[in-house]
Amino acid sequence: MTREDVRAGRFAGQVAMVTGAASGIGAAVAEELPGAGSIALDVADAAAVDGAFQEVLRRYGRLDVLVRAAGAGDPEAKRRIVDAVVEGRPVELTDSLDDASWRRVLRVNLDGTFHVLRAAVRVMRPAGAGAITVIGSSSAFDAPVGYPHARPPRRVCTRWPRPWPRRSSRPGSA
Amino acid sequence: MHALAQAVAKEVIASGIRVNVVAPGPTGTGMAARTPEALRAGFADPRLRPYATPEEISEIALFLVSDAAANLVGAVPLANGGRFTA
Repeated sequence: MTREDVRAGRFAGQVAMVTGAASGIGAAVAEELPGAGSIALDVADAAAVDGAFQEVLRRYGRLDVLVRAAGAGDPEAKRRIVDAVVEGRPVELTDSLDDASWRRVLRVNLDGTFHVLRAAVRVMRPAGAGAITVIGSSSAFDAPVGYPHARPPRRVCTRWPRPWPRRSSRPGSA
Repeated sequence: MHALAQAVAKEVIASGIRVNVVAPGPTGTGMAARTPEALRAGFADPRLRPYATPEEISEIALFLVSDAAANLVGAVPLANGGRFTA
């Protein structure tokens, strides 16, 4: 699909939301979704996220498209990686990565994604339709050295949600 | 984050909701601008495509929410210009 298709109305008449629309990829997406609403939202604040989606439902009656683009990096970690590379020494960051930095990245990237997905599903499921794209990162496939908080959201989530073990209905079986 | 989205995708497709992910490599955004030059230089192999533009990544995101992607559920296309494959 090309931008020409979008301008010709591929998403015409659809209600769309973009998180992280203030800059970067989110802004590029919002520019191409005619009439997409974008609001300043702390995606780590579950109540704020729920409120925003409920407001869209109240105003427009439905949500057809969501693109979740808000993401957090760690410039301080990157600076320390660069310092190590420039000085020709191994990157050593994990042992000194502080709780606040860890939580800040995970709050936005992991908690925020959960909050946004949950809120969107709550609005879309009764309608029986919707389409969502989450902007992730190639670092999920190949961990960058010295950036451990960028990859765990994927590792953690491969154990979530864990389906209940199936139980046989036959008595006496495991 | 990707596995979270994929887990949700497998559940909610039954309700007619498609969820997908796009995994961009280095992209020319504010986040990238805050990446020190020395790190960015490591991504700038002249044999490869340059940094993606936000518009190029948004094209993939928009394709994924369009009807043309009707059979993509829980997909995670890697858009990193071939820096590595997965």
